Amino acid sequence: MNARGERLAEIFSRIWADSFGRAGLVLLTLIIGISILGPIIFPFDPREVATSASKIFAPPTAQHWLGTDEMGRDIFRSTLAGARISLLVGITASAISIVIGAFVGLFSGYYHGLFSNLLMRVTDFFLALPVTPLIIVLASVFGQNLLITIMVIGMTSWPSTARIVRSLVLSIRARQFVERVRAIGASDARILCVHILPNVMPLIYANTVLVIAGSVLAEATLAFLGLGDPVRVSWGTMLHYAFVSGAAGRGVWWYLLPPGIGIVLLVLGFTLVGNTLDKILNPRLREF
Amino acid sequence: MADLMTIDELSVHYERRRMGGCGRKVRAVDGVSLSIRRGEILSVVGESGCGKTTMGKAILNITRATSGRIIYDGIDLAKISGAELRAMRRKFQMIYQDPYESLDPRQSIYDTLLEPLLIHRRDLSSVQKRDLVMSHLEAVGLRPAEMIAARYPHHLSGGQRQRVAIAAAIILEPDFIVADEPVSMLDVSVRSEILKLMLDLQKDKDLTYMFITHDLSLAWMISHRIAVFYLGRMVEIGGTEEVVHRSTHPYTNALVSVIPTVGKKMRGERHILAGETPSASEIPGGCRFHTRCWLYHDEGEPEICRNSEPELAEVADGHMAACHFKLIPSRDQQAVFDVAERLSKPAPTLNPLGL
Repeated sequence: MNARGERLAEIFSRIWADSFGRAGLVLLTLIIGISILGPIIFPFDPREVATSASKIFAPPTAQHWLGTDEMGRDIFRSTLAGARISLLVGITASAISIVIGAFVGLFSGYYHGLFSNLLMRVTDFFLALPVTPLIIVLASVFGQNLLITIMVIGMTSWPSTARIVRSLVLSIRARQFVERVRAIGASDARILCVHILPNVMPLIYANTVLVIAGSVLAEATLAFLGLGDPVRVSWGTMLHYAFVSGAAGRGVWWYLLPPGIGIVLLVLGFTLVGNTLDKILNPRLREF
Repeated sequence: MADLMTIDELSVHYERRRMGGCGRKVRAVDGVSLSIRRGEILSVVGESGCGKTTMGKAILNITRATSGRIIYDGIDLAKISGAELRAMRRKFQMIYQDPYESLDPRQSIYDTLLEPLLIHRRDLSSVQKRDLVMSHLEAVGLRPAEMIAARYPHHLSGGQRQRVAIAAAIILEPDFIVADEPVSMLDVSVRSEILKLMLDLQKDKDLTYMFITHDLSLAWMISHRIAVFYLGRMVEIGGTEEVVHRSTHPYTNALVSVIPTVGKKMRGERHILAGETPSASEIPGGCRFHTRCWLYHDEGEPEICRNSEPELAEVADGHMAACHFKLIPSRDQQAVFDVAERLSKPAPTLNPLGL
């Protein structure tokens, strides 16, 4: 709808008006642009390995802008390719996490009963659990595969979303307009879908962006520990190989810095945009 | 007038849990019986916390009654199942005090009015629904309807929002509306307009109102009958003029004696009630009003007030009060009589200046 488009444009302009938000938007646009266009302009072929020893860990030259890795592959090209994987994992894992979190939050916030209490206890359990060791265990049990990585991150990062959504649902369901529509004769399903969900949506949007930042970081952690998909190389996987091949000890900074900086900028971009979005969509948070 | 609804021994009790301790029972509404007559405006008057809003919500089954019966059309509303109740809801509606809270901020005015039709009038075509929405917007004085319909609550003023809430309440053509302080949050300048709108609609659509208010003078102006509540119980009920001019309960009498008056000096005694209303979790024994009752002191603190709770007893035709003593109107209410005669007007009519 037109009104929705206008609202979206307005939100973008308000993020742009905030200096942190603007920095975040610039970063994200840059990285997303690179991840889409980069591999098209500079395709990366992992099989293009070095034929001579001089090509291994070669410093940056005109031919290899960011030098080569332990197999003699172009680091510039592999960094561009890695952006795609990192983003892909971050976004899809967050989508899973947000859907689960929003559903659990909506349900346990709206209904009072055994089942919703049980859901909240499960949420508490996951919240109290140290997530990093958990996903390491899960990833090593289920194997090194991009899909598995996405599932594992998505399945473990929903509890904070569930908590936040639930607390907002609790406050909305106590508001008078909910009582009024119930007095009109609206069913629970109607109240949830037509009245509560649209009022929770802004929070979910803002939360999604922040969860993406967390998921990117989680993926990098997993991959760095060697639990990433060895075929589809992300920035985390690159760092893993750099570490394993002893790039740090040999002073091969051109292998370590590109994926490292990439991860930092990507997480920073999502965090900046997410915080700004949170500030705009949930203005009450500004007081604290 | 025939009875529209009969409420029989309605009670709403809550368990208030306290940290570490056992629950205390809050008796918000405590055994209220009354009937609402078709086409009347019945005002329920009382201080805040006296259970009048809770009773209104219990009658509409928004709050579940702890015990008692609510008989409408031969059906006990307190007993029917969820789905039946939802279907019955089109017959009764509620108008809330705060128009800033009672409309969904993310729903356009059009969707707000359409919603009751979507729930109860699936028989109508979308064009018919649209026409109904527009005609009701105009009926509550929101013109041009097309323009208002596209707006959201935050675009509208408090008075306009209350008009939207009223339109949403009447669009299903209900029999009965509980209006919970519908004008107390509005600017004084808007109040009389909203009241006039509600009274006009009542006449046009043959509605029955239960008008909940803390303002006795307002109740006096608009209602056919007044019920006075104190701490979850009805202490007096009767025709408006009866209750205001010949109040038999000392609490009503105190409320009447402090109605602000213009010009005329009060000749009678004003009864300013001392202290706060006791908490509904610690209702005094005996007559629940005796702790603040001026008549109790005048009568020399008789034992009966502390020991037994008075029942409602008929003092005149259709006029009942729950007090062990009967007031003699001429003694305490002369001042009010004079004021009443000066403003004298057949109720219910509207006098905006008097608001």
